[in-house]
Amino acid sequence: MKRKITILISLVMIMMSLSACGKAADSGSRGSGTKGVNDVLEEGAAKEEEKNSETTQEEVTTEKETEVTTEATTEMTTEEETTEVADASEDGENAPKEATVVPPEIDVDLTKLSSTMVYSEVYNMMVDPDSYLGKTIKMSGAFAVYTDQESGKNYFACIIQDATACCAQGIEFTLDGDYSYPADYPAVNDEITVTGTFATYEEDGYIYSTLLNAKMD
Amino acid sequence: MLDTLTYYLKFPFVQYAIIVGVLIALCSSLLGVTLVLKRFSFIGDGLSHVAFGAMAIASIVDVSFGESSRSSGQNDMLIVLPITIISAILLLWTGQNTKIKGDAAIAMISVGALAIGYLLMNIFSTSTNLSGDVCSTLFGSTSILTLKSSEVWLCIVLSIVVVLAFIYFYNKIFAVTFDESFAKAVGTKANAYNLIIAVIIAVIIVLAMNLVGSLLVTALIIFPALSAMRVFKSFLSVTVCAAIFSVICALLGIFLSIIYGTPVGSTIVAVDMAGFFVFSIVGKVGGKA
Repeated sequence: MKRKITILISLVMIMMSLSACGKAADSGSRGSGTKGVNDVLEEGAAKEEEKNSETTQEEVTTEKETEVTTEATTEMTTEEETTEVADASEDGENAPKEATVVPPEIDVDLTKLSSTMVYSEVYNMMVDPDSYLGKTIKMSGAFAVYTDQESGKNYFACIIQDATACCAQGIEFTLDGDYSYPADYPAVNDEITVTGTFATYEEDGYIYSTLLNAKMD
Repeated sequence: MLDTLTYYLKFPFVQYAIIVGVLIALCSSLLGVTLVLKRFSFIGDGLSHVAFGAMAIASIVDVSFGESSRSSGQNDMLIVLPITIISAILLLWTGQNTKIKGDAAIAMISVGALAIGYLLMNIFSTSTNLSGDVCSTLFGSTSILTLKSSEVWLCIVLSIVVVLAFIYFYNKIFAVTFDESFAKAVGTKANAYNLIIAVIIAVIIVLAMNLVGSLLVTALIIFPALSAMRVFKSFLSVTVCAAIFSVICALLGIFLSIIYGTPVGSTIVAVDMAGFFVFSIVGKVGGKA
């Protein structure tokens, strides 16, 4: 009896280890401690910063934190966007222009999550939007557009599907800047990555969620 | 992978899913042994289809109650649970004495409820994504990862009730499971205990629909029991082994599904199946304990 229990426990342990152990690289990092949310976010921010600094040598715009506070009553958008321009004359006429771009800190990065996790997180955003107000969201998904037949207004969204591919959730976004549809937008169902500030607004008595000041890749 | 899992475990909805998943797996495995031995393995399927039909009714009632009730989600349980319990009683308790017996009664109620449920959802649904709703109810989809705290608490309370009832009535359930006629002969109120078993099963089915969806509920009930029976002989050892097996498989299934982005319900069932094959080999090699 004891022998069989021992065999059984051993088999269960083998099963668990087979399905739980990851790549060699992953297991190697165990000793150095696990990566927290902040680590992951910082890592993403660092990559973003590196990417931006390469492509914006001539830019001298520093974007400060953008805060959007939207209450349930849909009092919307207290936005503070400060632009500091480095004045060449301060450092001398011939001083080289220094470009320092601070990317917005991403609070919820959906691009790092599995499809099951993304769907669940977006669902929670829809069910409990108050918990996400003012947070910077980054997400990837299919581009979608809906045109209100009465007003003619276009609504743009990033759509994600669950693992069974039968359910879909989407978050509307409003791009930061002047863009016209369809010239400045991708084709419907194209894969896009959107980063913006989560907010809600009321229209026709319904509360809708959206990403304000969004940037689309 | 461990880093990813640790990162995911910080999300509240993942923590909810683990709590509810473990509790549901534990509860479903306890009664699974009894159902398999009483030749009622398929009752989970039948009752889950009834619960599907009841959910369709609940969604219609929610529409009439208004938006506030719809968002709470509490009305679903208030309607789904009683209907499922009544069906379980009809099948398990009175089913033996009626003209339509056992498997025929289960099959009839199962397909009937499924058809009525889908029909009602089509006729009265206000959802823009009917196929998504149906798919989510049948296969679980990400239901377990979209629970609200109130639903988690409800699940905790119901699970505690189920476990306590099983422990309290353990000897009687044992007697009724193995030899109902003998139990009746020695004065045990077999019908009353069958009624208790029916109620507990109905509660488990309704809870388990959150985890794996109505089509896959049966897997949570039968795989742990059948796997444990490959290795152990006694009722107690089979029940304990089934409970441990079920909890481990549910946890593994949830972890794998969130890491690899697979559907939760079917991943758990796949892990259950893998476990069953492992236990079958152990049973063949080592014999039964």
